[in-house]
Amino acid sequence: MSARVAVVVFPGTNSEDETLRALTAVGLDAEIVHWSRGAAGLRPFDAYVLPGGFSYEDRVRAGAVAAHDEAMDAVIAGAQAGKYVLGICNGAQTLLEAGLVPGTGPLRRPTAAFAPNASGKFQSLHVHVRLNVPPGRVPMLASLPPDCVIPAWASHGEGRLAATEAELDRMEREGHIAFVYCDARGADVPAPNGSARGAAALTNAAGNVLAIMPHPERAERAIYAPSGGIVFFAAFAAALAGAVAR
Amino acid sequence: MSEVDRAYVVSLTIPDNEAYTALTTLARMGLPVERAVRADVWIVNLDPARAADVDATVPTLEGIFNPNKHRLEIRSDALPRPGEVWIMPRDERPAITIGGRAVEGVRGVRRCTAWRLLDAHGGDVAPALLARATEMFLCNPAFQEAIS
Amino acid sequence: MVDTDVEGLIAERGRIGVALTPDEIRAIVAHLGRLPTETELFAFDAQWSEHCSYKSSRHHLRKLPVDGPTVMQGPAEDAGIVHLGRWNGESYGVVIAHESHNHPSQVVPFEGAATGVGGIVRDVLCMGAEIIGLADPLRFGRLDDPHCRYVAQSVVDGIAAYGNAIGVPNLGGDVYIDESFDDNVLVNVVALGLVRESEIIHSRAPRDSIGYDIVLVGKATDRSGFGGASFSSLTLDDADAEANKGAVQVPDPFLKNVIIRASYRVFEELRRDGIVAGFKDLGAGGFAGCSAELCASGGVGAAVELDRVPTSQPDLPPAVVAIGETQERLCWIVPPTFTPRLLAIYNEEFSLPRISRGAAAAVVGKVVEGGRYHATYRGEVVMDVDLDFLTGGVRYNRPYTIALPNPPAEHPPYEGFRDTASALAALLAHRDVCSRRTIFQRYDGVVRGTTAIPPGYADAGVICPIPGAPLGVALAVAGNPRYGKLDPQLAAEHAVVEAVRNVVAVGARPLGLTDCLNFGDPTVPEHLGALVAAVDGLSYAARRLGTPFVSGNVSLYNQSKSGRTVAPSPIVACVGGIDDIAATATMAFKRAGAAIYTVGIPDVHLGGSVYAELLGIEGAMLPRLDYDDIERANAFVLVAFREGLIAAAHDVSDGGTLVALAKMAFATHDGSRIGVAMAPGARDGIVCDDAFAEATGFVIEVADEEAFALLAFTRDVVVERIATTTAAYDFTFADGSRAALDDLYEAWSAPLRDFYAPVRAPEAVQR
Repeated sequence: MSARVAVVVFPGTNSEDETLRALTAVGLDAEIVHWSRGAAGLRPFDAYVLPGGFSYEDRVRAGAVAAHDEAMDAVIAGAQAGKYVLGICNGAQTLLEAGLVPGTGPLRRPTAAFAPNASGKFQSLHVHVRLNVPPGRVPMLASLPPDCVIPAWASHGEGRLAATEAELDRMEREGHIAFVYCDARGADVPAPNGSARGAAALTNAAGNVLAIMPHPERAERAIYAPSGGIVFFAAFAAALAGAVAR
Repeated sequence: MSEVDRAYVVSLTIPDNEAYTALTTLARMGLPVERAVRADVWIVNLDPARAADVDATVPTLEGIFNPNKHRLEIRSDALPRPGEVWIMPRDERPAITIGGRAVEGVRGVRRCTAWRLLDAHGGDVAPALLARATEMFLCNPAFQEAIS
Repeated sequence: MVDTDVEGLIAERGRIGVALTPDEIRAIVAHLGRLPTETELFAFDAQWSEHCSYKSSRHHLRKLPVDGPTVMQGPAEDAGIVHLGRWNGESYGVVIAHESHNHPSQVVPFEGAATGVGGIVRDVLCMGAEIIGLADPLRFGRLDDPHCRYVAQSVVDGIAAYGNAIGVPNLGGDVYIDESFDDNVLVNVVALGLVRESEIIHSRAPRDSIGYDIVLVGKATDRSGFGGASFSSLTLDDADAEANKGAVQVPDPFLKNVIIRASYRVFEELRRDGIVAGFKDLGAGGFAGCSAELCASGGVGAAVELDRVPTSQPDLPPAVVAIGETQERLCWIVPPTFTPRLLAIYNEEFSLPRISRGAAAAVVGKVVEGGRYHATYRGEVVMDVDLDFLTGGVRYNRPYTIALPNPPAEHPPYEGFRDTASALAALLAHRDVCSRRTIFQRYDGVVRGTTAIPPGYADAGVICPIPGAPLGVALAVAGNPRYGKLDPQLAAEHAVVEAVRNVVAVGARPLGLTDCLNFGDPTVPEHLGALVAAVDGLSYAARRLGTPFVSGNVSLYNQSKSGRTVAPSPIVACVGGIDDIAATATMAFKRAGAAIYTVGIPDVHLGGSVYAELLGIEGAMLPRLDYDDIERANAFVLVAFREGLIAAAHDVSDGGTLVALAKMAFATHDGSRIGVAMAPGARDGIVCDDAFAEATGFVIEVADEEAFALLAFTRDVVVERIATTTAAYDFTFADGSRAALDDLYEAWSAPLRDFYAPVRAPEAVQR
């Protein structure tokens, strides 16, 4: 029996199609589930993926309204039960607003945010990100090699990790900064959006929730650069297969 | 050279969907709020001798003010009123533009959001409720601070 | 009713706020047999505006070729459709629409540009298509003028805000800068859609639709955008600025995002049950304009209750409800058995009312027999007009004069650059050549995950829109104002040739064209003449290249009251098809030691070129176009792509051949850093100037030189080896001198790097 993955869509989400395709391309049984199906509609799934976009028009703050949406009750309950939850771009922001990542505070009381870029402007750039923690630290990506470099697209106006210095230190110390920006060979580069500690993705203590700002799913048809983002989803699928079998 | 802070408070005269969504979210969280009122605030640090000029210029900046859908309130004390909370980005270097334009006499610009929450009688909710709404939803302390 | 009533109305028309002429008003009164109601007056004002009726240009547009084997649907509706190919037993079409939003973008640039994107995607959606790509050809005034820069910044921000929010990738566009746009920015937008041929939805009431429901969907109607259609058809004047601001519509890409997805759901339901519906977006002329056109083109009538239109402001006058141009609204004509499902999808499954105050899908009328539009409001009849008369509009055959340019064949001697390196550096820094990366990085070029080649990597953006299929779609634009000022007809021909070549340069077969004619006051014979000449040029080039126009737009009155008119600007988009995405390439050099060839017989006239402008060369001829050679060269390049003979390709345009080579090297700047060395004897020097001519075809990095040369020989195409790529990141010229590509890259990147530097607001006049 294979894992069922819900691609959770809120009003304003816009990356659900390519996210769904990336998941099905690696053999997962995935489907798009709308916010209007509520928590009940989401409960039966084994894993949750929150794609990118501008949920609720970024009203109040990016991801803030979605974090309080009834549908998120199911995602939060699932995360607490150890289900894998992956948030990409706006999905990542929603997970931070929901307090699931870094998960160092109470639910829905964020301790970190992906805030407006240092340039103040939306930018769309091809980037690379490097796995910054031992692969087992994030079980959903356990099959990735150490220091794995993944190509992706950073297309956002608010990708700069912001938190108190103490919280940033803690996140570094406790392995919450799962990916950092790098060049094609894996060497550190300054984050194009000014993100603190070069952070491109965060995870929680248990490593079952991952919030990544750049999109590994968008280079699917690319001929301009090696399209390697699919390894990210392949690892996700492998981990899910293992998790369900258990 | 002296400088003062002056606040330009812009609110919508047409329905405000952001305020409406904030209200429905707070209601879902069980907070007894009947209405949410929102405004964008530009806290402008300027040369007081230029205040009148800046006052005249701000309503011409169509990036932030359109007479067909906005009203503008100017406050010489750049402070929230009782019943208002201002949500401000923390640790942000002040911008030098308002609505993307540089304005003569303006030294720095900080932008924030002003919220008021009203009860069923149309009055401000109790300060404790406003504080709770701020803590639970309106403000993300990771990169914002609340001023009231 | 007596004549004095009519004359009274005519005298009041300015105060009332309509742009109808006295004769137009008299014609309306004569037809109705009475004075029009206020609502009817505004309805005619919108429908008969230049923007809606094309009254000054329609006569001339008939010359454009619109047929061909690639055409699935020609210009009859709001968008055209071309054949892409078959996949899994289905025939797929690419929908393409092209519009302008010039006047609104000059007055309120952010909203004007954003609503331009909003409008064009609706045109594509209403063919029943999935929206798959955007392009934005832009014409700005001089960027060292603070106001021009502010307008330009806001236009780019507006396009980015809208396209990024709805999640449609930007595939290309261009920016030209000229002082003739100082008071009149040009903002053209192009949108693409994907539709199965069997699933096209039309913007007309279907056959046998008497009794069908007319359903309005979208944002609650308000006062915004009232008067927009006629506003677009008038000359801009600062004194009217405040009123004009009110006429600019308010964009809501968030709501549009949800409406688009909800509409896709509706498509699914309609197709599953085999229901034929009519679907059209609301634009100029508002609800009445849209529903009138839906019914008129279906040969039926409409009975509408304006009270049932969802509004967000109380007590709106019926004219505003009927004609106002509130954005993000669509209109369906569906059988009443389907209506409950339609309403449920928008109102419940996608919860429109909960995410936007007053937004909803609502039944507002019925399709009736006969050909009249009948609308009531609060019990009163406010519209009762013949649909053909309302939507048929008027036609004008205005007088025009065409100035025939007659430059000497040889240009007078001039003082040139010191050396080729300094010439190239100056060209690369020119406003029409320098890097636009700062601008297009604001646009999301890869959302939807279908992008094979994003903006900036090649001459056209390329997507693979059908999951799993190797079919590719390419989109490119063209239209050079430097040429337009010299010779509108030839400039139009160049726009077609350039747009087609840009698409061929990524290995795509040109499938169809769109055009937007951006010109001045059509009542001035010389300006109308420029338009007529441009249409002649578009027609001629399209016919010679066998690529039809499937859609288009006209924007007139692009001038200020002071009389400054924009450069004649025929802007063309070309959509192309790639059968197998494996046979395409970006422009970046791929390896050192590769042969670089030109393709095509070079024409070395310097008229209109960047080089001529930099050196003050006047009176030179625009490049001539040898269509036989162009056709053969294009066909050759496509075959060469398919046979894997091309590693990189670039079409030569602004700046000429050396600029094209430099850009191919720049594309490797952050990676493999490959340079280029001109062959000894290559004509690249400042002595002969040939390398600075701009219509010389393609430059190609060849993957297999022998096979390439043989293929060219068999196809009777002139190719010439002019350079070799090098491991050193330098540009080496034929005389042996060299320039460091890092230096040239800096010269190219610097001019627009500070595009977003804040512009000072003008001092407000103390009132």
